Amino acid sequence: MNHGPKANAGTAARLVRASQTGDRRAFDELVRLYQKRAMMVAVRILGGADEAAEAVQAGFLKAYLNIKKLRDAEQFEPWLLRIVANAAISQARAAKRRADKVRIADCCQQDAALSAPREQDAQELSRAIRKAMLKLSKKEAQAISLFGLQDMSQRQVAEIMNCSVEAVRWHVFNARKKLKVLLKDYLQ
Amino acid sequence: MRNEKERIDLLLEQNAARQLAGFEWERLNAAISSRLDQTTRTKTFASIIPMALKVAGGLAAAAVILIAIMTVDTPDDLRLDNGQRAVVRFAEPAGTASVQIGHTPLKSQVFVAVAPARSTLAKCDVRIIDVEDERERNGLRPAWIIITRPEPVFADNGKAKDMRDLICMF
Repeated sequence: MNHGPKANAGTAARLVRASQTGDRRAFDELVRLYQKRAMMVAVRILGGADEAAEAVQAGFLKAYLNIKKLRDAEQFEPWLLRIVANAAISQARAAKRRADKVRIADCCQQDAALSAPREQDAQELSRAIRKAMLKLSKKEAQAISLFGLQDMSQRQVAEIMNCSVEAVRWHVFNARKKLKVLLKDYLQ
Repeated sequence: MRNEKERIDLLLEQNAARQLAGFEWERLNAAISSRLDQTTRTKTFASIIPMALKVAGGLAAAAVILIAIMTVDTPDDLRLDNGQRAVVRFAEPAGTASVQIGHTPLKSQVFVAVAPARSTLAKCDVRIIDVEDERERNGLRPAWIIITRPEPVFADNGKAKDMRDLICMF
């Protein structure tokens, strides 16, 4: 699966610096360079492409508004992916709160995602993943979503999460352990 | 365990691949661009309003200061506590100082007894002024001060109280 090419660091840094001076075209170029990788992170947390696209839009918007605060232009990618991961996690939690309200109104509705699936279509799997991700801690969700990204080293994930490589491994280990249980029906 | 781990990763990978197959990247790009445009417009509008308010506020403040300068008493026309006016001029820019005034038996030199006879010193906050008085006594020119603290600790609270604020020192 193509996770999007890792952008040339020098080119990205030049575009970041231009964006910091208010160059919109430069930021548009950054969007084109990083949207695939941002989507990969968001899809791993939210399960579905449409939901992920929402989170990615919110992430890029936040990055645009705060790009002047980024001190090291070389660190744009980890900075952006952290923003996107956090946006995806917040969105998943907000969606869950809304769903909980609906569920109270409809007491007969089943918790479809965590029950045994009758048909493993893409929609159902994406819903199940989103629900399972909500059972993880924020750090675990961040770690597992970034860990699988192509060209992303454990050290880079650690930088994004602002913790040690060992801590990243620990979060990934826990995330996998929980997901294995939560998604066991889909692993068979 | 290793297999299970890999299967979990594979499942996430497969889901992502399925979800993003045929995904319209240009559409996402356009959506992001549109939201950025909208934000930029809002930001620009939001930044113009405070700027306009600042300019208007600055002009209003300048007008108020100008009116105040034109109407407020100048140092040449200070109002004393008793409602009298004393024509004075500052030798230096207005300021305050804390001084100790020695008690003098020559009451005529002092409009107000700042300290009773039993005390030798009274401490006041004062403003030093100059009246361009040509009089001299024992080779000294008079200097006038205004006590800016409401009342010296040992001030005379008798009939002369109303004039306690103006003192002539030789």
